[in-house]
Amino acid sequence: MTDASETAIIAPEKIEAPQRSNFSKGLRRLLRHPSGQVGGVVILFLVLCTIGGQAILPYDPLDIDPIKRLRPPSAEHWFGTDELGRDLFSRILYGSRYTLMIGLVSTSIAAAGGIVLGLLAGGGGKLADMVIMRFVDVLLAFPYILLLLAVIAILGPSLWTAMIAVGVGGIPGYARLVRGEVLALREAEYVEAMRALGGGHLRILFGTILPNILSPLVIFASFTIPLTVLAAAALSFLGLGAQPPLPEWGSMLVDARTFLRTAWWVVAAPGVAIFISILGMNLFGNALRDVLDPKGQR
Amino acid sequence: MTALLEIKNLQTEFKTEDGIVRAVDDVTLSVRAGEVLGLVGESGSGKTVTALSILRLIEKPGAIVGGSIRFDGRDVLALAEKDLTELRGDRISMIFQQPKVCLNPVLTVGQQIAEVFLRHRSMEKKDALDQSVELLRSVGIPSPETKVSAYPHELSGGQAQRVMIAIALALTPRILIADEPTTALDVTIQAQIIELLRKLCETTDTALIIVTHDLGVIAEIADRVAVMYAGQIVEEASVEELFDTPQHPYTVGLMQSMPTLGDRRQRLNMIPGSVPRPFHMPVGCRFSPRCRARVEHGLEKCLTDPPALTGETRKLRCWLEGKE
Amino acid sequence: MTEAPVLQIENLSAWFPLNKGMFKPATHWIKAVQDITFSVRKGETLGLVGESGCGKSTLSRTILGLREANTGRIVLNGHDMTNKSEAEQRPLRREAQMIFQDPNASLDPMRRVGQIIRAGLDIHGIGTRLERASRVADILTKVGLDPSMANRFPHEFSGGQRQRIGIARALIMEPKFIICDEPVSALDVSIQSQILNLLKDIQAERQLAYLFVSHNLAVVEHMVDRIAVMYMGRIVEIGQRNALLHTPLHPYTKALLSAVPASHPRKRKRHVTLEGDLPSLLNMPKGCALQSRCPMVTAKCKVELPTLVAAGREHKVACWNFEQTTSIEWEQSIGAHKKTTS
Repeated sequence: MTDASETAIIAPEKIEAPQRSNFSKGLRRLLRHPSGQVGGVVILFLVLCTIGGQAILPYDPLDIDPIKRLRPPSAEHWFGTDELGRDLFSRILYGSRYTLMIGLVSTSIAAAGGIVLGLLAGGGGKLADMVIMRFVDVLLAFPYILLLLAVIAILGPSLWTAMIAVGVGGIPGYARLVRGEVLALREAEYVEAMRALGGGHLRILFGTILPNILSPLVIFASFTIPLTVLAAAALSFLGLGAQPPLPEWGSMLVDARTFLRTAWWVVAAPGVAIFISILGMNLFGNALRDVLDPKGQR
Repeated sequence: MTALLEIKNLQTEFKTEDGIVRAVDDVTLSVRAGEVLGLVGESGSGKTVTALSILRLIEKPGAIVGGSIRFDGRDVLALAEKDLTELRGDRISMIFQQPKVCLNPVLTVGQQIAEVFLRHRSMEKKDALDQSVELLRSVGIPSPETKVSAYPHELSGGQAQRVMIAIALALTPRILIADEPTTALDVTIQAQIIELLRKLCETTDTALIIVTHDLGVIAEIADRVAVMYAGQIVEEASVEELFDTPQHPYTVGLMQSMPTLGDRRQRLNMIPGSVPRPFHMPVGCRFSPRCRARVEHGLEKCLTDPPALTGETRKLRCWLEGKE
Repeated sequence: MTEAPVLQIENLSAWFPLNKGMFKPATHWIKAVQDITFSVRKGETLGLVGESGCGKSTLSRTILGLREANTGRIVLNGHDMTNKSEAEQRPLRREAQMIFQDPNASLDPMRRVGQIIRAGLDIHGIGTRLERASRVADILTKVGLDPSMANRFPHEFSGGQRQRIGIARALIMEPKFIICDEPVSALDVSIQSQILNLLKDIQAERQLAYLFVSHNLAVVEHMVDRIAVMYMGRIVEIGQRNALLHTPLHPYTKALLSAVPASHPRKRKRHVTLEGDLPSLLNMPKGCALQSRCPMVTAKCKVELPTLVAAGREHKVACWNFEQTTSIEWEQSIGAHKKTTS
């Protein structure tokens, strides 16, 4: 029986309807995950507050009203007011944009630096690997807070400086992760296939390996974002990050700590805000890991 | 002679996000003492799930949803967890494709075999170790006295599979289930393991259920064969009948598409298409979209009505039966 | 016959260093591939047979330049690849491609099928965008897939279809030589013959030379013209298919053949199997690598390494005792060996 008659009597294999893409499958799984739901709501709330801007705030977050100093929470001022009579509810809502910004900017700096270093170390030959990884080791051996202080000493204290400092502090972690993933993937058959076709080092590193390590990177990022937020808040608290009157949650705590006994709400508002947003991000990160990590699935 | 193990209309399902997958659909099988039953099929045919169902090793999100399994007159599906552990390993035991994965890397071979005796038979530790040496000898491990204190990583793949067989046979089970026991092994080692299994079954009257995709393994060892396709048994026969006169178009296709040593043809016969995916099961006969015989006979029924498994000793699930 | 072979390798060796430090030379070498010589002609298939760890994968990868050879020469299509820089080799390597064993692992899961197949053209800058797309469509049709599938991701395909994609990726470079590394061993039985037939059709049409790596002798017999048997990094026997399969000379080849499962339950036989353990590649014994498992080992085997010697027309074997062993004697000696061990 020849090939032609074979195909004549048996219809060629039907192309099945396109399957749902991995992305939309993952999204569905994420939305069904309980901690993904809780974390998602928190993050969505932060995003909405940022997009809404001043329009959704009951008061101007910077508006000082000496008459309404340190009022406890009431129907008028849900979270009360601070020592300058500013509405805490408005300040907290407005502060969410800094939290998001710190998380995104710091993590982007850390990830970008770490990915480049990690790819070069993992895929650039023995010498590059040794030089880069020793550099990373040195960064890691540096006391974290000292590293941050060094960056701030160079650039001067501001919100941006804090974000850059925290970002630089995050580079070694990403570099190590990426290097490890590259080393593991280098032996993968589809990478070998690219080499057999004559693919150059850079093309394989950035075109083949990088897209395939995105999911561990996303998982890692989802855990480092809350840490960067905390670190930046700590810097602000030390007076090295966001400067007053910016309603950044960390810096709000600085002014508030003197009133801890007399006006608890001034401390509680930013404290609880930080707590809930970090918790939300971590929950979301957990869900993301469950969805993306093939080892976590059956 | 009555059957040792009787499976009737077994149905095993797995819950996935996209819906329920019935991995095993209406499987009926029986095994007699001392018999070697081959369960042959491709990936996704349900052969492994069938084997795991016998020991109720199906874990969530999977579940046995229908049918019955009777072992030695007892209803396996109704057994309490406690009786189940007694059944597993003691009366029915199982070996797997990757022997090295199944062995505990931090315990010596002897400890792992002895543990079986200690758990199921209250035996002195020293006696258990002595027994282990004997067992290793019986499965053909060279110098068992020294190998008994070896760790799994010191064993070759073939030796590890021998150790697994030793553990499985430690309590002289009535049935041994072997799931692709030779697939991960080299050709020469595969021949040794098959030889060993064959010898053990002949001498101990243990029934063997061998699950494999390889018709060569079946030809070597089985007495009776059940061919599975897409979760169902499509043909069951004695091994000689099956190889002499395969009847189901799928079986025929498999045999003809397999190159055999000493029979060189210019082209191999092909089964067109590929195995159906769980959510794209054909409505009628599951093999119908790939079935050349159906086209030749122009039978429309195959596309609409699922055929049943019919016959007494020789069973067939095909509308074309007797239409040769 | 006089035409230059598509691939010619001479005395090829590939070793892996052990305990190598930054500034410290290796103290030991794993000699995965040792002193291999063979050639493959246009339109011919050479089968490479051996068990896991015999060095057949390392050999394939060395031939393709995926790892460096320690000694020896690789001549591809008349171009000597030895002592050429990677940049010089790259255009020459287009003519040698590979089909991988596991179609689940050899296709980049993040890329669409069209991109995967096109990769070679992209890398070497062949054709315009449109030309590349039409070549992808052509090659998809050639391997029996629908051109509209170019926009799908690999995970949407079955194993057999994925292997067709792998074949298309190699074919689009219009190679003269393809290494088929166990191309069907990861596939379902009912799919294997489809792929084997496809490989044969393509070869007939394009006069390709294949190096067909496999452990399955039945598949090898079906596919190849000549067979090379590898054991512990060396070729122990090489010859025309029929000569090698009908009158195998090396004890290892005989054991391999005997281990092939019966094709019919009535043809069951006692398998001639090699007892004993494989030596470690790290610590190879002096003499023949098979000495610890060979039923007809003599004193000479333990001191002197047998070299490949002619034993017939285009039939070479590396065994000191092959002349003394006709098949019948072999069966007898194995029988005696069995009795003493069991």
